Amino acid sequence: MRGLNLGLYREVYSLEFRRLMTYRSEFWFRFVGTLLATLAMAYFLWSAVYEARGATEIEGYSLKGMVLYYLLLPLVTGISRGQEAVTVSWEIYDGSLTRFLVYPVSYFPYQYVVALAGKTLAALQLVIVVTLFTWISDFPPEMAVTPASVALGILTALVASLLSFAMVSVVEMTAFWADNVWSLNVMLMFSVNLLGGGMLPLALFPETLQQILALTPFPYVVSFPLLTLTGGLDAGQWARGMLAMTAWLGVILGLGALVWRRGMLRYTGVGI
Amino acid sequence: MGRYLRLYGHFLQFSFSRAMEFRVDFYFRIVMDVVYYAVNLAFFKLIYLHTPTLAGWTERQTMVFVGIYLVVDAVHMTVFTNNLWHLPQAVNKGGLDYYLTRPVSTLFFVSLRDFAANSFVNLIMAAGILAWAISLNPEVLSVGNLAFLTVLLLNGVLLHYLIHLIYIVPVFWTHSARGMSDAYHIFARFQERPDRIFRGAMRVFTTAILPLSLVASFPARLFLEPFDVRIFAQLVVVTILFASLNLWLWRRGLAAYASASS
Repeated sequence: MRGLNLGLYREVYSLEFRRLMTYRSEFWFRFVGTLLATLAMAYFLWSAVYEARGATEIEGYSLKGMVLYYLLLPLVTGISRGQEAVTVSWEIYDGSLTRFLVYPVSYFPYQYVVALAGKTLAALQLVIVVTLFTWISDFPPEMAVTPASVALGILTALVASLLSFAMVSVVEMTAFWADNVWSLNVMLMFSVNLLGGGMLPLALFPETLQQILALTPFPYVVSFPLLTLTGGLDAGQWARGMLAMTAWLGVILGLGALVWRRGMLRYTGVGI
Repeated sequence: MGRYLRLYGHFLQFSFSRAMEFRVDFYFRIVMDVVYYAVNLAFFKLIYLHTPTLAGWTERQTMVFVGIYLVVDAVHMTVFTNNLWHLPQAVNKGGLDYYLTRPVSTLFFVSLRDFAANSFVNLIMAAGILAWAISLNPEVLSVGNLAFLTVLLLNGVLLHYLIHLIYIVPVFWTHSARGMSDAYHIFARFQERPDRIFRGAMRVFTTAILPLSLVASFPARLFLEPFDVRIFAQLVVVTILFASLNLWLWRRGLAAYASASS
């Protein structure tokens, strides 16, 4: 393990940040497009559900709160998941992982710093949208969004991003043994999406299932940072959540280190 | 016609041989689609824990709708997706020259050359889900209605293909499909929701401008509910107009194709 060369990582971060900003129109088009489409879909779907049920509240969510959940969802997951920069499977296939074995950087910290540039922009987008929303409307009573909750939410999402990064890395590293692992990554994405609260709030799941899911890493990537941001957790719940998330991070990092060591024994450095 | 069928037979043979070269990936992809189907079914199952109906449908009726869009998606993934993914690159790098010099329709060749053999297994599973969902609704079971559903499914597949294609054709002029590809993935989700939830301008958008709701939701309504001639007429007219628009754009695109790699 190489020592941390902070100056070099700062440079990598800066380069990636500038690269992302090179295609500004594309970047903002994707951001606004995703946000509007998600918002429209949530509004129409949940309006129909509330209307059919004849209710003003479902599991503690008013219609406005439910739609806001979906508005904040891509913003929070933009930080906690982001466009994962883990490309280790491709580096293994084409043999380009070799260059990282001689570079003065460690592979995974390097990739995380690259991802961090995108996450910084996602945090900026989150602050902009929350500020704009505060100007034009009020948050519903079930959401206590304050500058402090936003800051804590961003911090929680950043820790969650380490967990997500570790999960994706472990899956990607199966490329040391398998021909193509793209589909495994997509499976992980589907699972995190549904079981983490990315498709609908976990409060809408049956109680038993919620308790089981709390024992898995999935809610900590999506639901937990989002609930932190919207003030849906008290101090005790947040501390217990952080503890569980950190424990999962430790387990997955340990597993990752093991897979990396075993994988490197098989790595030939020959591309396809 | 016979020549096209023989050619497609060769495409199938080649695609199956290639898929079996990467067996682990072949099985991974099958599991991936099983997870995708499970996620889609679970999503609607969870919603129905909180409402008796959605857009006028009960849970068992919605399962037919889900089955229809899973089958349409599986056919699209099996027959068209790989080809359409590679099309922008072929336009940008001049690879389209190869297709233009073949003595068959270029659109046929670029759309059907690569058959995703691994998705074919999933198509069988998606069809199984649809069959299960239909069995939950015995009141609509009849030979005539099932034959009608088959036609509606084929139309849904055609529309899905055309919607995907219309996002790609601009690459002839823009030389980058990335923004359009993002838009395709963003809007594709709208076809996975019942059309009756959309109102106002959004309804016009999803049923007439970009006919996302006509892929699965309209077929589900025509299959599950008493025949509505207006829905059927809209389906036919919009399909014809949208197909014509696609063909016109494709021809204009080919005329603008410069063949030079970049």
